[in-house]
Amino acid sequence: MYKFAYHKAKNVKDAAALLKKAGDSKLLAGGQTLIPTLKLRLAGPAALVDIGGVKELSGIALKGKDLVIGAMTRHAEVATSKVVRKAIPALAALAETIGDPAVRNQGTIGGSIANNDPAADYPAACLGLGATIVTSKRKIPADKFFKGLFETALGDDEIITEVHFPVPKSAGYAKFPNPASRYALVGVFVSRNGSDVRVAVTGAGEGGVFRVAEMEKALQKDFSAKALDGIAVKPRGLNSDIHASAEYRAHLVGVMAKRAAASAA
Amino acid sequence: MASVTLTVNGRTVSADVDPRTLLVQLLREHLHLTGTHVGCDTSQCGACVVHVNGRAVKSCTLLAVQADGAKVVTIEGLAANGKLHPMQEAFRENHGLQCGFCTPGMIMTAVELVNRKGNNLDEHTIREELEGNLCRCTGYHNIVKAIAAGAKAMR
Amino acid sequence: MKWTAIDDFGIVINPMIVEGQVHGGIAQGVGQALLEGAVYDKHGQLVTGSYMDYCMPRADNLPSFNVDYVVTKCPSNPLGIKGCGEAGAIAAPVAVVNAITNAVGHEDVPMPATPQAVWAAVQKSAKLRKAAE
Repeated sequence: MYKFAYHKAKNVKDAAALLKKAGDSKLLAGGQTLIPTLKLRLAGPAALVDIGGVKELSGIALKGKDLVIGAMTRHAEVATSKVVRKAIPALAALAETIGDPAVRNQGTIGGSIANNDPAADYPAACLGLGATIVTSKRKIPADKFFKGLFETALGDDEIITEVHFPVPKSAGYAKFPNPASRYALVGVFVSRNGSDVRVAVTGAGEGGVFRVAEMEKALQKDFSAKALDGIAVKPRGLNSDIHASAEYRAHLVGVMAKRAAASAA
Repeated sequence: MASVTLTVNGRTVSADVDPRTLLVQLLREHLHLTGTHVGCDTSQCGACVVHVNGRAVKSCTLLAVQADGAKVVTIEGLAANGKLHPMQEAFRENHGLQCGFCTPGMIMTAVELVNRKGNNLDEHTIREELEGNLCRCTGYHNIVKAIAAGAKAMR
Repeated sequence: MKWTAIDDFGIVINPMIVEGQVHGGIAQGVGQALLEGAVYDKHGQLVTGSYMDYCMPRADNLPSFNVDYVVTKCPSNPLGIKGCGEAGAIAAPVAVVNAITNAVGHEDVPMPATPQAVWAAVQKSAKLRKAAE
């Protein structure tokens, strides 16, 4: 690791002030991606601002028609929460597929979303459910939040505080894990909330998570796996690496979308 | 430097550390608790799993300063009064280790698993829950048997 | 899924250790057949340098094993014993890959037979079937 200064934030305001003051700094949430990145010297921030002790950022509650999850809520808490399991079971199931039990005990939803790894699971849920990402400054719809590989709409001293998931009529997530890392080789989240039907794909896109309009149209008419028959995603613009070619990923998007729709029905 | 104070296996310890110090480095190099191992160093293998406030975490992927104020239990903290913890005993009984390198992490993961999911664990559950613990030897067959037996013995 | 391995190790002195060797060997053999591959790029750089990319067998990749013996005393040493170190690794890759070639109907299946490799092999089967029609 390169040298960095370490600051422990007392609350969100304090964290934002520390971020601003420290200049080239990074927020430390659970650290399950950031710490390996620092260890490999792929990042070298001058300072880390630790929000691990900020209690107000943690928690799960149903508020009106939204399921609200605090940014520092651990994956394990989302996976096992009775509230999440009842409101959006697909979201709890998704959280249970992230990393492994020890990673889920430490990693956070806010950290995952802010990092926007192109193979992470939560971005698919945010986009696939039409979530709103609430920050220390504003509310950002998921459609405008994810900007590309590891890029988001977040400003330098902006902190995610909550994620608001509209509770859908039905939703499903299917993931084909990379056999080695168990990140999503392809993951597809589908949901239906009145006339709003969404299909979000993670793991596959060169620019990170994306929606599939053609599939959404088909599911709007008939929300079933069968409605997706014959709809093929083109390999162009999809990732190609040692684990899967763009062609294979394109094939998997079709298969996972059907599985997600079937599990949501 | 940053100062950290934490409880390790029931003992309060304080140290002034470079903020880059990982929890596993604090345990192994400052406190000489070398039972916790570093395997892959990229948070896949699970040889470094310890309990922080009752939750199993990978101590190679946690800064020591993040554990400030926490209660940490390592493999050295399981046995009480010179008697092996039931999970340790089960690993011995069932030949749950070959070279033994992954064993501390396997046992710490297993104990937390029992705390979360109870004493009756089927094979499928145990295998899925071991997703973050690798054994190169690879003696999963007996590790799974040992965890099932250890879980029952922890009742 | 059921996995049975029968070996002839001559006289078995410590079955616990011997069975451990068979278990480990089978797991490593399955790893070789399905998961583990060292990949280099065209510049000679290893691109599977961590477990993020190099796939180690995990507990949930494997079933439990039934292990048994046929005992033929080895005539060339006084104990009648034979080697058993990682013996499970000999037949395991063969058994796994035979199952795959049997399922896809041809033998063009590489090791490790990753999901992508099996998918490609299935595409080839479809092409071969079409050509035969």
